[in-house]
Amino acid sequence: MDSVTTVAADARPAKHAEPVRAAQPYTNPYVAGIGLGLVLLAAFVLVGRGLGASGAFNSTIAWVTSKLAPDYAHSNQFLAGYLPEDGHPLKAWLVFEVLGVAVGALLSGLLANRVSVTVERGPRISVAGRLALAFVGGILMAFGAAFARGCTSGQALTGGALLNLGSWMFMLCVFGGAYATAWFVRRQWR
Amino acid sequence: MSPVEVFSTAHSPITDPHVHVWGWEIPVYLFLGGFTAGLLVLSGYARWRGRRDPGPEPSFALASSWLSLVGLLAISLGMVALFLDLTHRAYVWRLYLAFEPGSPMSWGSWILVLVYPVLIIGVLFAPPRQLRERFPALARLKRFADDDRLRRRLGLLSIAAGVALGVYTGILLSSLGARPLWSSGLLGPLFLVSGLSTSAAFVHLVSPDPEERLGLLRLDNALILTEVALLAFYLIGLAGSAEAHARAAELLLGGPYTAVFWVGVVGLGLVVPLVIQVLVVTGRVAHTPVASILVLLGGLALRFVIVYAGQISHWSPRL
Repeated sequence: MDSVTTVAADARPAKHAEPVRAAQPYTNPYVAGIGLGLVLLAAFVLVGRGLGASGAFNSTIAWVTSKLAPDYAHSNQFLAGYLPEDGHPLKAWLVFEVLGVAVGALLSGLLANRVSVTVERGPRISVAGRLALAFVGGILMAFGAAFARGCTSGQALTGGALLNLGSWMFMLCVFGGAYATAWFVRRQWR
Repeated sequence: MSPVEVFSTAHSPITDPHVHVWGWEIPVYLFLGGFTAGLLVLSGYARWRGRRDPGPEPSFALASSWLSLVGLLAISLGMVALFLDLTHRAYVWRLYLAFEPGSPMSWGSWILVLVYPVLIIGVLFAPPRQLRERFPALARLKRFADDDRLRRRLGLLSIAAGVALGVYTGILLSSLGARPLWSSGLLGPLFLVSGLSTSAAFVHLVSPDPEERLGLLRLDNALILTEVALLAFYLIGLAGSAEAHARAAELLLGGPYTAVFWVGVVGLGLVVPLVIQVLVVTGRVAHTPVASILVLLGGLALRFVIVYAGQISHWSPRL
């Protein structure tokens, strides 16, 4: 099919050729930070809730588990907390918020011509190695978010904006932990 | 298919019970039926206008045999889903012993009898290489495909079969008066337009012809706007009608299906792909398969929401 596709595409006049544009650079992080703060403010004003991410994944996992092993899901205290008695587990603010994040990221990437299927990695690490490290990091992140009862967006961003002492402690620990851990994997990005 | 229609003059939750008999099979069947209807109309129009498959070998362009094969596969999968829903599967053949003009299911059964030959002829007009190698006699059919008049007639027949199939998927629901959410004449056009939109999105995804892709993108934008307008008229009509209809509309306007309808169907299935496709047409972003995939998923979500919410809509004042 590939050869056919090429022949057919080349046989057409170039007047409808798809535009090829260079990828735009990322937004200035300080400008993006102010934008994120305004999004947080808008979330409080419009829906009365802050931002978060890990809760959406918890809801999804609880819902999938309740389908595969309903007895276990309802007897597990952590999962049961995400399974409302009336209503669907995925009908939660954070699930819809994360969907919106994905859509916004897609539109931003499309407008900046940065959408592609790729694995971002440093020059020294293979794709498999990068994915393995990301997987390990993801597992640590999941445990951390469960222990801390929130992730960087839920605790640091939302809790920090509400001046919660625990959230500020969380944020300091995240930065401290990130700098300490980054030293061990810094060569993967150089 | 085994719909349970409850006709009752009483308004008691006991004598007029809440019946939830349709699972995933019916929305999937309605989606695949609408999708096939759209393929029939679009490829039929292309054939009627004299277009042919641009490649030396069959491709997935509008007037191609591969696309007819996709339609054949889609409607067959839909029929499997429908068959799984039947209670008395051994008696399905009885639908073809009579024609009941007042029964949408009878209409649907006979429309499918028309759809299958049209799709099969569409495949045989320019059989894929694998089929030709296996059955050399099929190569002789090429002279029929070279006959312009015959091809144009097949196109017209394909459009007629597609419109009938697409409208039928909506009328099947709207004829079931026991459920007020389905009690709207707009469901037929809505499902037809949705089917056209999903098939246009699919062909945009797979067609090898850049000019055809751009045309389908523009067409899909118009179809999405039409679908949004039809959805608005549908909800306004229900909300402004009798109390039972207004309460049925509330299922999507504040009730249990509100979030999935507005986020899944309207937001992710219509508005977001429309925005992306408008940006593509105006040259601001590159072509992306994401918009087409969202349109397809949105079409499926629409059937799920309408079928599931419809089953809990009720004539009783209180449940």
